[in-house]
Amino acid sequence: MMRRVARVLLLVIGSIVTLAGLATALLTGPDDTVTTGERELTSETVAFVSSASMFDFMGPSLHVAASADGEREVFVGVAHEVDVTAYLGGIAYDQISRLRFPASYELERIDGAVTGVEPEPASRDWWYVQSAGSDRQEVVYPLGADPVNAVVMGADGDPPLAVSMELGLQIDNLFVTALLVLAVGLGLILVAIFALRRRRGARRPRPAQATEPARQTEGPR
Amino acid sequence: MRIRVLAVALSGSLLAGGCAAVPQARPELPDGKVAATNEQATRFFNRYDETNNTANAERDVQAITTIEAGPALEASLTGYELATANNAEPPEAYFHTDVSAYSPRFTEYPMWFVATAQINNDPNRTAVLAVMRESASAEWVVEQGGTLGEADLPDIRLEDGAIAEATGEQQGRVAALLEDAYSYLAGGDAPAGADVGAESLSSYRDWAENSTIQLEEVTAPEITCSTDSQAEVRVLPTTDGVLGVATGRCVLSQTLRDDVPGEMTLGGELSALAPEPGRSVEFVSSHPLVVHAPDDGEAVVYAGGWRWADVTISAA
Repeated sequence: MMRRVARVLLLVIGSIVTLAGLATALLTGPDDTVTTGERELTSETVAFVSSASMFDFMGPSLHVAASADGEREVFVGVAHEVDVTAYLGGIAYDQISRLRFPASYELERIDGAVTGVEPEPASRDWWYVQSAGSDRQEVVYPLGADPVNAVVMGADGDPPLAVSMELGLQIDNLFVTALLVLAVGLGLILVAIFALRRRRGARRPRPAQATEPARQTEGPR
Repeated sequence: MRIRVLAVALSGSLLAGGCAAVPQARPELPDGKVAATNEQATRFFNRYDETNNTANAERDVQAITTIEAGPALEASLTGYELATANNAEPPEAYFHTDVSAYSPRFTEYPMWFVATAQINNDPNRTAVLAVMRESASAEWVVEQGGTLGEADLPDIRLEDGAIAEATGEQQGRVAALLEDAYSYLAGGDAPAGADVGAESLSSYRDWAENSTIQLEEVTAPEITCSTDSQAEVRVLPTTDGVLGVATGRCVLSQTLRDDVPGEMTLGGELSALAPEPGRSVEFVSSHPLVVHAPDDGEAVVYAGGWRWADVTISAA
């Protein structure tokens, strides 16, 4: 009885592991990156800024990509929160306070003047990574010990903002690991099914066997 | 048995296949950031050198204003004025190499860092410069410092990549050593326990004693020196004591004696700064200083080349 329960449990665990591996592999893709997908965002303020607490870990690489509507040039950058906070001090912007992979952003308005920033963002040398242009711009920053903000704004530093934006996290070997987890899950399912089938076979009644009659002891002649 | 073999094989393949790089919690660090990394400081000095050499060659006031501030800018602008008036040759271009940046951690602006560098890769030309930035929207500017010549500077004491916080006692030692340097510049008395043999200090003493107005009608030179209020003293704890970076400002005054009527005018190249006649003259000079106060042993006052900050003639 206990063995049967263990084998059913193995089947359940195998199914869960398989689903987890499959879901992670589908979400990640061969580029090891989990992304929000491109989202259309508009704001009357100057920028979309991810909160530093959102990426409160190190190891993965943060991907930030955006393109602006029409001919307008877009700027994307990652910098220390001290620099970003000082640069946008007193100016209203929309903070991305939470990320729900792979679907949506939670935005929070940071109060301030609805105005532009000067000088334009690309002129600042404190960005760890930055890119600006009229087509889709993307930067990649390996998250380290410093708290950072990802920033998307118009390259001219002026509000309002209408962008198509994508945030992602690249975790090395995540796709391979997801496939391996998937394989392990499938393996567990196969093992459980094999064990259950063998158990069922073992419970079939065996055919009766003829028994050798007891040999009679001969007395002394 | 087969089950065990399969389980081991799958687990092994998972491990051998290279697990995903699991995100790690950020280490607990003090708040804020260092003002600049060595790479950022090197980028700044590349820009500084390019602009500075062009500005010096063309005596471009607007350009030099974008990369310098405080005592450094004042001395550069005065230098341009003198060079223009005296039709002097522009100085040779030079470059900062092997730049290292040291700063505390900042949680807000303004920020500053002290950079050490070589000039044109020459190990006998060590530069120490204090660089500051008012805001995230502003540019880095050199506020003070100079080329010390050959200098055996101590290692700066770092904690989590930032300079350690200076104690009150260390700040006091730097202030006392600077006062010794000012006393020497003003009066020529070498302090006990401190080496003031830097060439730039003695060359100022030579000028004060020999090249000032040597006329009976004029009072003897009176010199007062103090820290230039345009820039703060930067204090950096070292592995053996403490280092201070500051700019001394010396004012040498001479006046026509009360019993001498009339006014005087300046001769020589400095007359370009104060062409009008008057009864009193003040020669203001700027002295980049780096002082090293070790916990044990003799303190050293290093000095960059001193430059004119201003010359004025007044009626009083």
